[in-house]
Amino acid sequence: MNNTVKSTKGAEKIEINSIRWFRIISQFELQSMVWPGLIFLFVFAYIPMYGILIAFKDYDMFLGVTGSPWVGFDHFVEFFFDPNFFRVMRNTLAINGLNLIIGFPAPIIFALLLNEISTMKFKRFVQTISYLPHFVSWVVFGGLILTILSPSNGILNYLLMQLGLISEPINFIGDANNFWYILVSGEVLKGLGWGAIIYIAAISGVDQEMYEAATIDGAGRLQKMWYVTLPSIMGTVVIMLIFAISAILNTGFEQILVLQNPLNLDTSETIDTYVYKTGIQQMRYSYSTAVGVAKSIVAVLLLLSANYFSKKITNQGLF
Amino acid sequence: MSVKSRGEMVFSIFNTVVMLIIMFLTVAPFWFSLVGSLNEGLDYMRGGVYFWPREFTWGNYIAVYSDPSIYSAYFVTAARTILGTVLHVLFTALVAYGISRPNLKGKSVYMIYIMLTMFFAGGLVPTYLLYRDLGLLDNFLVFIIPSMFSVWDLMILLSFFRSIPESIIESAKIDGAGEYRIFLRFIIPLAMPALAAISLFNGVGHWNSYFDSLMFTTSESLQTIQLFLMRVVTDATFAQGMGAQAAQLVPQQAKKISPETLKLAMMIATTAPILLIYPFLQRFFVKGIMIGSIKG
Amino acid sequence: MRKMRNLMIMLLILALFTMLMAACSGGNDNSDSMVGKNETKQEEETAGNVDTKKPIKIKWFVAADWYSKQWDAENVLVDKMVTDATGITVEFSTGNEEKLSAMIASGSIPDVVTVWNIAPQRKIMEKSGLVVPLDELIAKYTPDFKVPQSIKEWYGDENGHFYGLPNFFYAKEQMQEGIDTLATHIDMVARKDIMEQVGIRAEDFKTKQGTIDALKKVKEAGIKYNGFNIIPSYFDHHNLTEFFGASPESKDGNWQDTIRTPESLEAFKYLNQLYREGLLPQDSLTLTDEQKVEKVAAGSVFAKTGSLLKWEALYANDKNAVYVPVGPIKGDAGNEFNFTPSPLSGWMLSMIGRDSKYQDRIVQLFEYLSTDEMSLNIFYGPKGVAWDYDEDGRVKLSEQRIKDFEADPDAAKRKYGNDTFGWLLNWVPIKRTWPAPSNEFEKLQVEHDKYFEQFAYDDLAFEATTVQGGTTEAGIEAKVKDYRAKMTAKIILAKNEAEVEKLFQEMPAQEDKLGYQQLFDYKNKAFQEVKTKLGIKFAWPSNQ
Repeated sequence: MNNTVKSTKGAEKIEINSIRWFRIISQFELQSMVWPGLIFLFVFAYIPMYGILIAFKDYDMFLGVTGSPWVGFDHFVEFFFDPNFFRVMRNTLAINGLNLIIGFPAPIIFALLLNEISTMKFKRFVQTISYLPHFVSWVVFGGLILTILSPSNGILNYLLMQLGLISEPINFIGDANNFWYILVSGEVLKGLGWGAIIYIAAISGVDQEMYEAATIDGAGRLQKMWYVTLPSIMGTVVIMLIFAISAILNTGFEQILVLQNPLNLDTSETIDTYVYKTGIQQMRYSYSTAVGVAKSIVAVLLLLSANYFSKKITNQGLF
Repeated sequence: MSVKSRGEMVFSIFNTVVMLIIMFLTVAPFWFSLVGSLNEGLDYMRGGVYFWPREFTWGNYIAVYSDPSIYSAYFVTAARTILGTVLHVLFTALVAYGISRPNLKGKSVYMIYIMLTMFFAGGLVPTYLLYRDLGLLDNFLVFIIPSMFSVWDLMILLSFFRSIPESIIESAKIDGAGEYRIFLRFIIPLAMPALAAISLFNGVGHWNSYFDSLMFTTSESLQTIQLFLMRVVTDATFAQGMGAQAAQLVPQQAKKISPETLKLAMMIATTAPILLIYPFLQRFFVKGIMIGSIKG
Repeated sequence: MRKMRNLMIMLLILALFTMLMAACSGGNDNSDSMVGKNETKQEEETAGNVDTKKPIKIKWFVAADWYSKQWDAENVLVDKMVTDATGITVEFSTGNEEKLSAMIASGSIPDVVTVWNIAPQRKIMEKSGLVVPLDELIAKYTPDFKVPQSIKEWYGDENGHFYGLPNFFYAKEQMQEGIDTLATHIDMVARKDIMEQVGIRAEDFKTKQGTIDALKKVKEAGIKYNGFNIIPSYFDHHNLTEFFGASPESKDGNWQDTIRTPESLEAFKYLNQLYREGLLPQDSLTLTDEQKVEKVAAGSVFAKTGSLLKWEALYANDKNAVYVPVGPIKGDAGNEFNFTPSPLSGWMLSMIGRDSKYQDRIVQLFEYLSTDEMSLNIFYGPKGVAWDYDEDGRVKLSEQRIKDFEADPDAAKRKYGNDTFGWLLNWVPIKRTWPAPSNEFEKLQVEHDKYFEQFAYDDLAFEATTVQGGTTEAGIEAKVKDYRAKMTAKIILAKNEAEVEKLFQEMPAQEDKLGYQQLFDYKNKAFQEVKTKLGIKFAWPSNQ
């Protein structure tokens, strides 16, 4: 009895599977476009992925990833129970929160405004200029920010003094309260033009007939921007937003380290700078990997929920 | 141009002013860097060089270009940029088109499979071992093959492909076109702005990359431009670290260049080619595409 | 449609190009293995008959990503010299420590590997047997090669083996009493022109009050230089703690953290006083070294500590604006002070791979490179062409070399190849024979170095407390360092002395939370072990 049940179940399974396979094969042409990508990822992403295991081990490169001794969640514990954990997490969230509020919409608005320039030459010129800072390294760019804000010869203090707004120069970068705003302003300025490229591309893809139709309906420029352009690039905006939300624990460390000093450490230390100093620079590969894994898990969860809500609200999402 | 309303005039003026401010803020850092790279190193250290060089010199550029191996570095980098970008964009776009079709079977599984790779990477050592087994170590193809596909670009392309009206694809199918034909004949031209954007991102990535050259190659002939320049700068930093000693051994050099000015010159030297190429890509961005014209 | 055709043609060309590239690299592989075959053949041939000059090629990996050297025995004088003498051509490859990790994981390393001595990869290679004990190779192939005992001991493992040769190691055996001195970065200097202008003598800086009075004089005189107000001082806590004589070793012989000593508190209080009296700007805590150098170069700093703040740029612009040594300030306790020298225990360690076919030849190369004169040749270019000894036994650069460097420094550097192959460089003979100063600036430098180097002491035992990379303790040390940077700034900017004291007392408890005790135990254990090895009971001069 049992055997027959089992075998019929097995047969059903095979049958279902073969139907599935048949469906996939039936669209051979379409599948053949996708599969090279899947194989590529298998080779270049999935095969090396066993390296993540060192997050749970005390990695010894001679023993190799598989041969190193297991330590379980020790590295995770070190990170989560670090006395600085709360501070570092707060700063990370604050900086990326500000980035989401200011840094995320800025390139979109810039792209929309740029699209409204009617002189083609001026438009091209502005666009070219706007992405220049992307190529200026953070060491140089950060150095300029520091010079502008300098209490002894910075232009900002000079202007404020001339205007009579302050009586003594302020050491802006030496005040922990200012750090988040200084950093985010710098990042916005540096990434504005570069970040806008993707939206500019999206805007150029908008069907011109829609504008013509809107003009016939008597829409003004702002109305066209609001009712035609923006909805047309919404798909791109949503995708970028979902990714920005899922990356909320990533700040990068280069730009922060340039602007960091002992007086603003309370607000300038983020997960990435902290792990850079205590893990990567110290060649502690297991610990660095463990923090990376923890961050990635959070990122995946955020991505899934952001995608879920986006589908509910805007009917658009990644998948 | 029809007669503008008052509101539109105000908006135009406002918009122009905003653009001028942004232009000033964004051009300034680049201009300061350019000026610094044309200033004598020792003098630059005194600060205050922003709008025009105080002690003009070509010394920093001479130092960057004096080593003959820079030309092979330029060549390798140009080759990988062109080849790598073209293959990357075509391959990624092909996969993205397949994924974007609503009737694709197994789509949700594929998506999860693809997305996971964005978050979990195995790290350097397993990658190195893999490349060794694939024979990619110290091989030009290590610059091309592993970067042929990117999930991030795939996601961006997906959003563009989805905005292409389904009717175009349907009518092509009725005409008997296969998927590959549709991809080449309709999708690529229609998604040109997106492809141009991705080419730009990817091309700049290739142009600026040094990590793969550092990690996976050993031959000097496979050194990329960024790696080469990084080494020139560190060399100068070391010479300066020896302080008076270096000054004594190489009096002229120490005066004309410093690590700071050399870094600036190097930045300009790598950025300039991108700036020259950009206008050619730009026409894909500013020209609105008439979907109607494609159909014909 | 025509566009499409063009695209197709382009793709076709690209595909061909790819194949060509692949073929090229494939070809390389083939030629490589051919060389390999030839080499084994050669080895068989020479097995019975050792030819020490037979041309060979060795692979040498340097774990320093900024380094790059293309061996060129035809055009580069140093390379030619080495190849002529040893028959060896070196094929360098470079990368960072992580790349070395990957190579270790793949189980094969090149003939020679050079790595930072505290990198975890070094110990791993030694323990795993990927590198051969150098003592064994020397005994076998070059019995006359004398490696200083202090190097053998310092880099030796528990079994009495040592695996590599360091560069920039100050071996006690090689130091000549009264001639050789240790370099140090600890210093204190002030602008001579300003001192003369307001009537300050160098001796005024010997006491805390004298220094304050001097700085006040400068501040009150309201001097401007190039339109900038003169900043009285850029002093820092680390240098002052050394001036006040903080001991890194307790009376009972344990290692101690100088930042926790009473002298450290004294330095905090002093800097805080300077800050409150407007003699030390707040930005001395927020500026990076480069930014401070900019201020120094612009001529707006009167007195400073730490020789990393260079001032050539200022001098190049104004020959009167020179810094002269002053101080060091004595602490209240009147402690004897000793300055920490630049590391004595070396920097990069070069080791020979287990699978190398040329171990004999490489040891010979190491021996060849280890003489004093070779260090000079590597640093300046070959003797005779680039330099020679003058009558005092100092190096005198040749006219040709000076001319070449003046004409085109980059080309000259490539021609002489100087300072591009320093992996076995010994700084002691170079320092000993340093060329006589040829201008005013160099003379000042020599005087400056002489003044501060007299205080430098042999701190080798303390260098053993350097934490190995990759360990938990390395992580703890980074956390403690970060915390201390923050607290140092807070303390110096405190409102009054009582607050300085309060914040200072708070520090140990917080550091303990970061795991300080574990770090201390690690360091103290290493310290005690090395003292036993060196056969000393105390390492701090005042304790001895």
